[in-house]
Amino acid sequence: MIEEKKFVTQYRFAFIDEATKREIRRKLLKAIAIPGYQVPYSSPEMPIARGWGTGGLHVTLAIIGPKDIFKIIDQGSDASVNACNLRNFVQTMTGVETTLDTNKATIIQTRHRITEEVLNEDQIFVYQVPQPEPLRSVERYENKTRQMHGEADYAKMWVSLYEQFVRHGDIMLGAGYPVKVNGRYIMAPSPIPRWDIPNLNNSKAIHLFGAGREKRLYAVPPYTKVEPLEFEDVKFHIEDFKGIPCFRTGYKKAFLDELYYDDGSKHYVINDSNFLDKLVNKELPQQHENSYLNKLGNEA
Amino acid sequence: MIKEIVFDAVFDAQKSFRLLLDAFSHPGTIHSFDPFELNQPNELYKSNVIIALSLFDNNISFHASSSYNLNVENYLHLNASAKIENIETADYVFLNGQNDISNLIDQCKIGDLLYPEKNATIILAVNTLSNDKIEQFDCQINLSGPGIQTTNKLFIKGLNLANLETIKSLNQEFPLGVDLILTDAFEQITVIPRSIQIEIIQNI
Repeated sequence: MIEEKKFVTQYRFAFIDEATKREIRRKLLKAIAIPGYQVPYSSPEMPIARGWGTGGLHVTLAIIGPKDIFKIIDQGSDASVNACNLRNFVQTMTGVETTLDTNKATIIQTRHRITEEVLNEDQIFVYQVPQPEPLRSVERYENKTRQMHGEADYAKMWVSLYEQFVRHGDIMLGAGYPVKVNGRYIMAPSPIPRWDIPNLNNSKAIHLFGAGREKRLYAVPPYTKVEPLEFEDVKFHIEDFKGIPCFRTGYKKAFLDELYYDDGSKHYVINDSNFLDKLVNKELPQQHENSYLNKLGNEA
Repeated sequence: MIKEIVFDAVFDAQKSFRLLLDAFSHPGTIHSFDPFELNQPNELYKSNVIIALSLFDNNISFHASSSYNLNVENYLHLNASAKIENIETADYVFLNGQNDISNLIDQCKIGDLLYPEKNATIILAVNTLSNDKIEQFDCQINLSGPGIQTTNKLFIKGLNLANLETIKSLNQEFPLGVDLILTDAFEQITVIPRSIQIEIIQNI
């Protein structure tokens, strides 16, 4: 009897049931209204385990429509396992067009990178977030971090950054460097490298963050001030590649991957696969502009 | 009382939500929903109904009877299946902004510091919204904040200024406050979330 019932339920576009989609949509609007604040949500079961991109998937499936063009990257690459499987899933569940072209996509889901190519006003950028709470490293209880956010009491965070500098001579946060959004909430920008943090500031696109395992949604609206935490005398800086060029294109101004070949030799290649492809095809993609990137030496 | 059938709960709701997402992300810009052949009570704008149809379900509550007839509340309840509640506890509040209703707006919930998202979203009906100067407007408001590159100008006709002042005072202590959706007689909407600074310039 149960089997028969299964097939009389109506067709569900985008996998998630309508009631849950509405809940996620309402919470996304709240998240936009309070930039950087983590809104709790239901985080329904998905066909992948929590912590493997369910948060990003919830957001994507709640906002996607039949006319969207979908792109998904994992660590900058369109071709890695997480990206391929989630792309297939979203495509099967919605029938939308998928693309690898950053410029053409209307919804870009990402794990751990912002695309190297600049985003436009019609795009929505969806992040898969493993740990949405920036204060978790300094305070283990949720009720206390919630109170700290409520009172904008971020002293512990500042002390932790100070201690890192005193011990190691630098703030030892590579990915997920804490940022202050709209001068109010401290937010974990999901583990994007420092390289991408300035690109969140005053971005033209809508940035939506989904943390499925931790059941939190948050957002950065377009044209919103996003500042990395820094001291008056110890400033935020992006990764330094010491002027090493990408071995395939000779380009110096992009986030690089380190490759080890079988002969033991080391090569550096641009991390964003679509950006790399465009450079190889001499398409001249337009890159993000920010004060940190502009200081770097340009092309080969 | 008619049950609406032209609004598709899957695809129309998605499309309308995306418009709302865009409106929330770009405060002060003017948006219009697709036209639907709805049979709503005359005093209610269609855009108000579409907001309810695309966002509401039985998990949330709304309030409309302070500004509208009871049949408006029943119509929304029938079609959007949200709970009817008092203005002090409702998640979504439908009000008419033409008269001074600041005492009603004052009663809307604004969330608390631990859970600032537990606030009311006010859907306020006015006469005309425009980004360009219009004839006989009641006020010009300049908006700035997240989602706005520099400032957005908004000209409003049919809005009592006392209402706007009350909303400003509710939104004083960010992140507490109410989110405002303005709807007009030409089925246009614009959104002013609580994160936005409102500067009121009266028409003299």
